[in-house]
Amino acid sequence: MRTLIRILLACVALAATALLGMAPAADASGTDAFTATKTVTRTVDGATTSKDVTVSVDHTLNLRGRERLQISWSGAVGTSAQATNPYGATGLTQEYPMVIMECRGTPDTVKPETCYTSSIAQRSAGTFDGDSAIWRRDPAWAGATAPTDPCKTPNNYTVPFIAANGKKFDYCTDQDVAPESLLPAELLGYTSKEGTGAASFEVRTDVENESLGCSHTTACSLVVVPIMGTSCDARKGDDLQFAYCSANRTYAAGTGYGEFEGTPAVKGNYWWTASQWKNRITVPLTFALPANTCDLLDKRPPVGFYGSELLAQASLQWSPAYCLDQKRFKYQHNQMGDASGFDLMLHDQAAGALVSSQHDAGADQVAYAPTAVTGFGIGYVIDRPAYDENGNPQVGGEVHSLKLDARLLAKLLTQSYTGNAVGAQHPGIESNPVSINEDPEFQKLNPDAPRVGRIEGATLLSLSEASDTVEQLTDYIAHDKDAMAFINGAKDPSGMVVNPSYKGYKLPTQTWELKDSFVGNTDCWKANPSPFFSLMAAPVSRMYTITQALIDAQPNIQTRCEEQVNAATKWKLGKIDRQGYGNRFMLGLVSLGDAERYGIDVAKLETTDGTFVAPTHDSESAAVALMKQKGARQPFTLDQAAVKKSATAYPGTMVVYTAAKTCDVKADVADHVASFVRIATTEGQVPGSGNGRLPDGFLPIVKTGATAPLFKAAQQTADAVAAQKCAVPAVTPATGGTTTPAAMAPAAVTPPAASGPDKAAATTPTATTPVSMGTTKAPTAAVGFVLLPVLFALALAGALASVVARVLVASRS
Amino acid sequence: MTRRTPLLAAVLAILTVFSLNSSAQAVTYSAIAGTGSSWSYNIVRQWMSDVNSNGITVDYTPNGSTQGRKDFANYTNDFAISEIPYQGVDESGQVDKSDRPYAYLPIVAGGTAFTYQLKIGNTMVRNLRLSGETLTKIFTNQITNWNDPQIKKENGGRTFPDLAITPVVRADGSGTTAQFTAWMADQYQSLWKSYSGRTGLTSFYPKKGRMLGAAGSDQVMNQIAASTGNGTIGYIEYSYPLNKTAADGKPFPVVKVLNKGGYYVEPTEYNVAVALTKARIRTDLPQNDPLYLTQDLRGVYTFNDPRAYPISSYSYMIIPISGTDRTMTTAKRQALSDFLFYGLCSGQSKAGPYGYSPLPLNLVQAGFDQVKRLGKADPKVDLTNKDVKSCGNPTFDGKNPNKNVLAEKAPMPAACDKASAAPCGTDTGTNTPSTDDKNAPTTPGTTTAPGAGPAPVAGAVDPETGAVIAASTATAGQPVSAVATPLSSDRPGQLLPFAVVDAGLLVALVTAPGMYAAFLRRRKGVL
Repeated sequence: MRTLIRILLACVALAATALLGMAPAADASGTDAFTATKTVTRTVDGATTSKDVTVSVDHTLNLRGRERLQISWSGAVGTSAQATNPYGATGLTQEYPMVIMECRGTPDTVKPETCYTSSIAQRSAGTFDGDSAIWRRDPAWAGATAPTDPCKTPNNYTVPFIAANGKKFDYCTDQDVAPESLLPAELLGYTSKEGTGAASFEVRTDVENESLGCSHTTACSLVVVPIMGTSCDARKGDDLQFAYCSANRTYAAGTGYGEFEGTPAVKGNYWWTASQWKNRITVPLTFALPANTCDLLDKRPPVGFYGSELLAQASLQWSPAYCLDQKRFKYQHNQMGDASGFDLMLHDQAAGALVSSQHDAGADQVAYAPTAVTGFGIGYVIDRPAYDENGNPQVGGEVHSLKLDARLLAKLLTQSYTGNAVGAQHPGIESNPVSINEDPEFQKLNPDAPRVGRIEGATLLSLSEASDTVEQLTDYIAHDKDAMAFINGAKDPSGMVVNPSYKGYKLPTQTWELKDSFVGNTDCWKANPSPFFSLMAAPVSRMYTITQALIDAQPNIQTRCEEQVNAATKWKLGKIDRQGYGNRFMLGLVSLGDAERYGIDVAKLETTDGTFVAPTHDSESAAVALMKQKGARQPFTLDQAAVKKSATAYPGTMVVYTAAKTCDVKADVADHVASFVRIATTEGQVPGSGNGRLPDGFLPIVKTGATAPLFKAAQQTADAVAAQKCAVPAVTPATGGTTTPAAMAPAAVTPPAASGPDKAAATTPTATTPVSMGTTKAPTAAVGFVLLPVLFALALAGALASVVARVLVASRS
Repeated sequence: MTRRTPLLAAVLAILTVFSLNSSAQAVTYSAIAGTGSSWSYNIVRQWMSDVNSNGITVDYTPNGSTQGRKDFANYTNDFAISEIPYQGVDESGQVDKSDRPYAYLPIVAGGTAFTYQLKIGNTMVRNLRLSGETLTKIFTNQITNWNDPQIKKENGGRTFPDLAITPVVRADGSGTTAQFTAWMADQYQSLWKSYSGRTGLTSFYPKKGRMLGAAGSDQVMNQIAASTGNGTIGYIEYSYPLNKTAADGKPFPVVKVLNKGGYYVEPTEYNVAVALTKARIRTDLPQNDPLYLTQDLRGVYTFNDPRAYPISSYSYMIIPISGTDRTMTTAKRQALSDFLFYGLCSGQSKAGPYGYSPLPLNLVQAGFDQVKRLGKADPKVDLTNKDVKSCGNPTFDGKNPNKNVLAEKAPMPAACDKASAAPCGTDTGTNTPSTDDKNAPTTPGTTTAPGAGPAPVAGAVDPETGAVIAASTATAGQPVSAVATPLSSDRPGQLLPFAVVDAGLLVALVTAPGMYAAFLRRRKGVL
């Protein structure tokens, strides 16, 4: 009996240790969505109007900084006087907007003072005479008395902000505001005439917004206030004052985009009055445990891997799993073009190169180890049109499904849309559509998307540098009959022709060249004789720049040509404006890792005629299944002709390889590379957002299934790199299964023996399967990572010792 | 007493396990955002990516130095990067100053390169050499055709095609433009003055004639690299052409510029380092002078070392140093100071591979003194051990902070780079020194850069500390390892001790109840 108790105690202790060492394991699995319906009201002189508003949020748990939530609602009052930018003060002028804020506190404890807004205007109201100080007429205040203004300004009220550290900011002047004001915060969403609306909202943790302070220990909520109008009591104040506080909308529901100034009582400004605040729907949020991070003072020199940006998100999660382990090395991924990274590796400047295709190694012997499966996507941000062609208001909201085929991509990349009136003067393409929006081919595939031509829809923001990604994208186009016929000069069914500068352009290509020389015909363009279409394409050197541009809806198009007053240069070229909310349309080439991390929508691409495939684990697996290895330790190639025949494979699927020399590399470097490959292809393939895990946007490489050949190839390359045998490579067939992960497991994996008082079973399986490694380690805490197995063994020893002790004590007594 | 110890230990064991997990970071960071220079963006972007693994989030928008300085003054960024200091009043009479208290510190060095596209038939010229005067004449529309006799003369009599020269200049307010025009204004005053009507530098290039304007370094490179770019030449930081592949699969070439030593040289990290040994950094001024640490490059322009690249310069970060700065917090200052610690130290080691040149020790030291002002503004900012002694910087010589190791290692230019010799046939833009020295490093940083090279060799420069290990003897018994304030509670080095303590305590936790029960039983003598 006593023995049993002791065993139980030991087990409890172990369980506790295990639990504490682990991060919350609740991965986003669809169960963390939120939906609630609330009856929201406005009472004007005793008469109450009400609406049943339903708010849904797609996910709410384990959030990370800058993660985007998709919020949708129905049953609300339709918005009028819609603003182009619903963020910040400009969104306030709308009538009946949906105010969405991130606030510190649980649904029980949130208050306007803990809701963050990006400037003073969103939490302050001031009037000249007090007649329109409608918050004073709100009967819902406690004791029916409006609070006094902390700023002591007559006829003004400002909601102070209380920071996480308790500091109160009065927001009376711009000297007294919270320090975080660089990022837009609250959002004043648009509700259609039908009462529905949708918006994506970026959450901030204490890292991005320290004053708001949301973290795994500080509870925060999303607060949604459907603006109904502030309630109003006729007995408070005179007729004029009552007229102000009881007013309804000035503009018809659905109107917007102009110099509108809505009726104060129903604008966004007064979300904080007692009657409106009462209408809030509060969505509790939880935040992920922050990952342990590398020590800045760690003196180990970093082991540099150079190359592909596709791996960026994985590297970010992987590197702490190396630096936090003294037995490993400091992994560092230096992002640059695949070819540049490869060259550095050849010159012994980089331990390994991260590339996605075979590169010219010259006389060197280079082996490739599949390290991650991910790919590219055509990212987009598109708002549904607010109006149809006849000017009638539409549902609005964002487009979350987009289909593209190879010919549409070819049209965008060959700069065959004219963009605007300047571009339409380009000889040979005068009658082409202004942008993809006007193209019947696009319209047929995407009936939801806006159809009015605009320069932002005439281009795909892409890479200027040589890149394996561009090569694969153009290889996809190269295998499409219609797309190539178009590039080679054939008209598409609607009569559109290729820009003559790209006629017959050879694909695939590592670098998409800027070939057009047309210069605009206006005074400004004559003064700035830069090629118009190159400035419209304006490719950039980093994929991350494209991601950022999509997040901000800031196209990189450089064709704004304007006259300047009082300047040395009279006519000047520049970037076009950031796009207004509700009117966004932008396409860009992104990595699937970035797309997942920042919630960027990615288009489905056509494979067989009429079949459109989105990047999912299934479609990436299907693509991997089509890949063929060129030879032992060489890359796999994805034949886009096979993809075209498959209805299930995603054409943008790409493998990122670690490429390293198998000859004349110093032993320690070779060991680092080999162990990187082994770790990356085992524990690095366990999905999750913790340290060492594989982020979303990547398909795990495992020992079985479609990725099995990749796994095997990786181990072979790891062995070859570790061995550094400079002999002429014998063409030996792949010998799988003999993977001895020597450098892989620094922490001795002591498998737990049976938990009993008997002698600890010494039969430790020596051949640990690499794939199972991940599951034995804590997702985030490197502490647990080392401690768990050790403690487990020690706890058992302890249990054993207690028995011994008992025997000893018993024998003495 | 001894009997109670196990119980106490058990409690402690539980607490230890808790504390290990709950205090993930002793130092907290808040995200910081910067704007400004695109000249230095390529390396700053990589530093941002690197410090991410340390939990530091940095956003940066390369919208040009001028805009960066403006944003800083308006409190709309947390830091700016600019090639030049605030000018007081800019060329269009607009205010270019900051009432927001600030300090400058150099963050990286580099060469302003001249990249071009010039084809003979279908082959790109890759070994063009030009004197400063010729370059100035090209950018002031005095020389307008590639077949100009002056170009021919400087290239050993080689005739280039009859093709109009199209200079590509920056259309936005740019530090690259400022550096380039400062050099022209100093070295070719009359040419520059008669073209621009001004005697000093400008951030806004006065575009005339055939010139094309482009906003940002990326777009300048695009214009030159475009298929339509034959005949173009533009000024840009060396990293851009280096990382840009031409149609033939090779990087874009850069002009070898004639220095006062009589050699045509390329802005490799070595040649930039050599040139900048003659930069006069205003360390003579008091630290609170707004121009403290700014650069006077006149000595660089005229340095007669055969290896010196004349248009070399530093890029600067502008940081907010007021304790009451309204957008700064402890966590932001911590992020900024630690970002700079990384950039000034380890971050320098990849300067070469990215097309920049590392800072010498004296500037890193001066930079740290500026970073300390963030600590002075807010004593809660932890700067413990984040100094020059914990640095890995390839250009360090601990014994002599003013010595630039890289500059000493810089190989002499090849004989064919001499002005009087026929031009070398080797390509430019490859980040490889053009030299006859057999022992010279074939690629930048091979023997010096610990961050880039995976396996630093023990040598003259300790890869981890940049030879400052030697200097640590001079720091009056301040051992490098004496970490007083932990940066992170679960720093790797602490794992083992905690694990051992934990394990011991856990043993106690398990055995204690048994022992105690046995003890009770023994005392009572019954079960």
